[in-house]
Amino acid sequence: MSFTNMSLIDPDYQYVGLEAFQRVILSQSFWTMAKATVIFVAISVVLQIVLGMILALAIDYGVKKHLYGSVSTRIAVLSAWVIPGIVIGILWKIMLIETNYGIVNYFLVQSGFSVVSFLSDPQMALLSTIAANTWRGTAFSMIMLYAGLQQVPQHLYDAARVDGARALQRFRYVTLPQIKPVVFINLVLITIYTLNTFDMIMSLTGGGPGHATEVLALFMYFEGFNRFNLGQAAAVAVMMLSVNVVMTVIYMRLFIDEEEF
Amino acid sequence: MRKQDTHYDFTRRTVLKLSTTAGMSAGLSALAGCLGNNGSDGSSGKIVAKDQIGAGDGNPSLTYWMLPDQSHTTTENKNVAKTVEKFFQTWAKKHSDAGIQIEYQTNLEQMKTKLLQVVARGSAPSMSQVDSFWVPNFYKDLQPVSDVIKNPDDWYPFIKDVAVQEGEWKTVWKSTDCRALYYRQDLMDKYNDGKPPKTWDELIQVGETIKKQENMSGYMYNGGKWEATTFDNLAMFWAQGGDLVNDKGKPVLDDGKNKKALLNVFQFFKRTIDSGVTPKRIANINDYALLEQAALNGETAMFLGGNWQISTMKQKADEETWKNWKVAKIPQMKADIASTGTGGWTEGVFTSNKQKRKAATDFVGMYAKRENMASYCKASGTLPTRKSVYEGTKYFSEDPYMQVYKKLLKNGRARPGYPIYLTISSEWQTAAGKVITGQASPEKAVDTMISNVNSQYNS
Repeated sequence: MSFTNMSLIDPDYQYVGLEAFQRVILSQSFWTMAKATVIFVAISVVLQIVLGMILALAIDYGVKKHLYGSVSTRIAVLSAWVIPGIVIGILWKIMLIETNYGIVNYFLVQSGFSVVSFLSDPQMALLSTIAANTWRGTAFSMIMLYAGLQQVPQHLYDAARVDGARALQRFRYVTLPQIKPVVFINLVLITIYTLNTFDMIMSLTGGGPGHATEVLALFMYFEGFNRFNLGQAAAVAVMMLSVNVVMTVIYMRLFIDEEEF
Repeated sequence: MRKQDTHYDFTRRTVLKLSTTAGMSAGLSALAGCLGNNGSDGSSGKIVAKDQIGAGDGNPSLTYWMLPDQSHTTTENKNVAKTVEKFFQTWAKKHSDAGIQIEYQTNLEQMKTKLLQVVARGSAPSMSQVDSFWVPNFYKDLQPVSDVIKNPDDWYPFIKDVAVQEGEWKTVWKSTDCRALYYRQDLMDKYNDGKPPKTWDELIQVGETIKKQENMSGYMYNGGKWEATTFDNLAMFWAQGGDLVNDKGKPVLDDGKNKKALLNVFQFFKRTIDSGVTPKRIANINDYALLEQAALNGETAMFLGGNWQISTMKQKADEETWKNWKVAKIPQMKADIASTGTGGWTEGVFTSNKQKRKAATDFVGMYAKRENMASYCKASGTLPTRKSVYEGTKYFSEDPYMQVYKKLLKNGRARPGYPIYLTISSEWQTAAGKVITGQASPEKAVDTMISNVNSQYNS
């Protein structure tokens, strides 16, 4: 489809080679959206991995020490992951609405701050979508990494302790190498999920203001179902697939040793 | 002996069981009859079921694409359900051999896409509800319904602009809506001699005073990434004589007067923000309810909204509050120009089979009758498309809001239903967002918008 000029309102189409790709790349707004997408994906993925790891370690510690609340914490965090994206967008919109009755702004005003333009300021709007996406994705990351932590043999930690390794060193030299394959799979999956995020942004900002939060997945939707250019929408989809493949290869190079291939 | 006893018992029990069963069966049959014939017309024996009207194996057998909330099955609005059911019953009585198979379309966006696809493939339904905005996309395929339009001059001019193609009525535009300025009468009494602003200058002036004196926004409008940001504000562009496309659907935004009109509108957006009359947060307003919320919370003195909002405000606020909100024409660059965006739904016939077409036209024609239009619009809270309905029906003639809408509709204008409009609208939303948030000047935003629209059209 990406090699055609297919349209939603015309049954006839021709094969036009790479013309659809050319049009997408030459479009002024494409590069603005590509930049927003890179920022959105990069920050979201890093935050999801880091926060997911912190939560997974905290829960693992809680379970090992038989602390109360580790199960309820897992349920609370996971609930964010099972909520549909559209609903998450609406929930965050209610929280971030820019009046005194917006939940976050209400507390800010009560604390003596002024109302913050979470969704109408271009930079803040992008940060808000990143925050909402991180909130959703961290749960998945946490559960993956927690599963990875369960696979690390206890005797390795015992041996490291005998060798005098401190907590940070045990994490660096025992935990991380052991859960590398899980981190790899996690990275691949959350990168794909984040790059393809569409529903949440649609209901939170609709891609605005301007093009500030219009990521490629949203651009693809508008191209296909708003402007009826199925060929160009397919070209964007192929480009997104290529980015996903390239990112996966990079992650493989970084995280999987050659003999493990 | 035992056998005899058993025989005796069996007979007695059987009689009792049979009586009970027969009684229950009769009861159930009656109940089933009532349910099965829900909405049936006793005299003709026709049924109005959920997805089948008239004979199941009717000749002709029509297919009808319908939105659930505009159907006789809607649970959200019982008045609409009753009105539509009545229309079906009348049709079924008249067409005793015919049948309509209803195919419900639950997603508006998908309905548009699906209808475009099936029409392009030549497998369109016999008739369908068609958004007034889509009509020009289907000019080729819609069958004329001129026979059921009895008094063409009674219909508003904007209806004819879209519905009439080469002298033929292509669709029955059954209900419409319009945009208007909502304002608080008490604040206008205090700061503007009781009258709402008619021009942009007046609006900014009174808005600034209200902001200063009452510590609230003067004026709010849709500025987020959604269709209303374009549609609501297009009235300001159209009133200046601006056109988005020519007769062939080619964008003409870079023509001198159109570009000037467009620039004026975007400069007005900038003025509303720079003067502080409008808060920047409108860049994320993508729901009419948010404007209503701001109005009822005392956050704004005026807003640009839709005609249907007065009834929702009535439901949400006490009488004193909602009655203080009045409607007026949208402020324009000059006082003597006017326009308002109009939408609404039409009923279209797609089948070219003579017999089917006749039966389908008879059905869609029911919405064109004055009394039917009045009852449907009253039930659905929409505006009639025939002028006489506003005079001949008490509900419309005695309501002061309806009388304002009646006047506004004289300058009503529908969006051009060409595919390029979607690009224009999307680019307008982006440009408005950029101007409101200060990412671009009106000049730059307009230039980018025009360049993107032309580039899309040429491709």
